[in-house]
Amino acid sequence: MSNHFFSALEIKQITNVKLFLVEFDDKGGHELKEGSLIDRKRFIRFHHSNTMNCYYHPERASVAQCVACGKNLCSECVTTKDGQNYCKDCLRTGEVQIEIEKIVIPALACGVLAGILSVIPILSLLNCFFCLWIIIGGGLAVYLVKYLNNIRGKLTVGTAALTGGLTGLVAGIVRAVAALFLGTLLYSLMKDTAFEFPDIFTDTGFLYSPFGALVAFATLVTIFLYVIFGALGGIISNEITK
Amino acid sequence: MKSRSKFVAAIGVWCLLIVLTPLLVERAPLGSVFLYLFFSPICHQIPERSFFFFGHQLPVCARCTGIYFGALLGSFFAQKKAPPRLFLIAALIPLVLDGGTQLFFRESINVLRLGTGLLAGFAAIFYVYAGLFNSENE
Repeated sequence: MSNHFFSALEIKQITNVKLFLVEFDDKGGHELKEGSLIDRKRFIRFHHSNTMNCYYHPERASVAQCVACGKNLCSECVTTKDGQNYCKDCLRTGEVQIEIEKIVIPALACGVLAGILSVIPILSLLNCFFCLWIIIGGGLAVYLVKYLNNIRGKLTVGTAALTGGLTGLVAGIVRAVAALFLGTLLYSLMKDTAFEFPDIFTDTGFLYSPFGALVAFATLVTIFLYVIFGALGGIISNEITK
Repeated sequence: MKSRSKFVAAIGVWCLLIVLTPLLVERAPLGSVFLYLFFSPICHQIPERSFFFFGHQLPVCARCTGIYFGALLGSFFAQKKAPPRLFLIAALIPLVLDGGTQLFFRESINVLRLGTGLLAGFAAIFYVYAGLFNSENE
């Protein structure tokens, strides 16, 4: 028994991979033995070190790569549809589902960026045009999720919408916090000057006044719309970057 | 209810809210205030750049009105397979040119804003529809 290869023959989830040990003997024969569950990092390390072999049949050389998930495939496992190669999993769903934790960082990063751009004077005017920063933010987040996870096809609609929506949520919160901070800063800088603030700003009960309630309501509406438009950007980006 | 009906209905409700807002100004002022506020984060609502309906301003500008109603129109024709990217780019060019140049060189007119918005909204909705529904029957 000179070589040992793992093969992912049955995959329920990437975090719960059932693996089989393939043992090769010196005469070229091999024997399958069911292995124990091993951790994901070990599997990925193994998979990356054997990238030229078929994902499903590691003893075979790959002849193609799935355009959706990037798996290497042998002639038996590859299916060509509309001139593009797919593995059996991606062919069945047509889309790639990934873990929620993989969307968090891109969504946070793009959300913060879109939120900041939505506060900067002049630049923020682009949001008056169809919430453009938020749509771009959601779209960029989906693109980053695909890029960072080496996905060349499409994410599921839910994943794309969730990524974009989360980006919009973060952008909405960042914008609300930044606006509050900038408003407070502006007030503290100008309160000793000749500038006369309307009474409502100097009223200690500002947050409980009808105007304060209106501001709070407008903030919630903004966050809600940002989530919707972020999701929209995510869905469009998912479609045009497939 | 089929996916297209739901899709068209959702965009239709959105467009209905836009048309409804000026109608509510005299009949239900609080409702119209709510809707003007609702649309304010996504549109500048400058009166000179907006259409007026029954004497009152729509809650979104002429360009946004075009985009939403273009999307409503496009939702009837959208297919589960998205058109090539070039289709979207080509549809966005007039809007970008009109919106971009008016920032620096010229002042656009509402009819042009509406027209370029209609074109952009009509094209963009094809990708949203394909993104939402193209794997449904696979």
